[in-house]
Amino acid sequence: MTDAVLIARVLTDDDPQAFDELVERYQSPVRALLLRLTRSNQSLSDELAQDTFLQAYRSLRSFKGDARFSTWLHSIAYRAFLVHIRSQRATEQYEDDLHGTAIEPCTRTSDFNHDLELAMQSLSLPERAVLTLCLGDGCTHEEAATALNLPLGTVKTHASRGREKLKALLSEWQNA
Amino acid sequence: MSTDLDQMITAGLRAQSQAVPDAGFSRAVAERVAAVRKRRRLARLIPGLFAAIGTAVVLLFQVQWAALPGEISNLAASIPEVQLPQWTQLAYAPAPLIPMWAWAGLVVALFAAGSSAIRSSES
Repeated sequence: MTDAVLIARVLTDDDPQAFDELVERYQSPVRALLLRLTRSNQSLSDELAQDTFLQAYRSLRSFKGDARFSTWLHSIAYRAFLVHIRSQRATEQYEDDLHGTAIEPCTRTSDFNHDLELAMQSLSLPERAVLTLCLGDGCTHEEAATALNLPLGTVKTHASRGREKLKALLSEWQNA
Repeated sequence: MSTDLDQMITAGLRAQSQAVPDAGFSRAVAERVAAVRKRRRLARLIPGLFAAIGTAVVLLFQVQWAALPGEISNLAASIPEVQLPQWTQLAYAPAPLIPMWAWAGLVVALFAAGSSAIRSSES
């Protein structure tokens, strides 16, 4: 069943199973994005993800279908995260996220995914978000720009810069 | 040109995005959505409730307007007679009929008593 059919069933029949299906379908990419943004803070990312789906349910009628449903969900999730970090304590916590941390090549472990996770955490917030959407979820740059409410050129810059940083950080794996 | 490392990064990020286990997350969202749905249903009842209350009030007033003359009569009939306390009855009681000669005798007696008192005080 396509997203459009499920959304229509939620809107017309208020079908709870249809929305459950949408949640099951998109919980993984939304939570993955929020895990990246919160630097693997499991409880916070789950709380924000729940808020995201709740907000999506409340404002489902405003979804026009001119972007993919996943893009729309990502934009809600990103906004929920931004609202969270605007609180005073959270701003302090994410202070260095705006610029990222100093780049030093990772010490290679036996697990590439572990090293990749560490490398992602050293990127700036927008770079993490753009790479997660573009590389992780297969979004186009335009879709990422829509989801993150950023200019297209900025998204392309973040994507390119983030990718270069990752390659520098994971250079030990270059000839693996 | 896409290198092996590029492909590894892309594959790694994609795998991570698709591999977050549900672990009861969907059920938790479903419960919160059910609560929202319940509140929405209640909220839908509110306009109907207000309409019902408004209609009842209007009807009630209409009935009272129609019965107003009768109600006023009933109200007037139901007002109890004012019962004044005992001492006020004494104050408001009509004065007893005293003959004129008695009033004149009282005045002469008071005048004589007053004159006698003045004289005794002067001596």
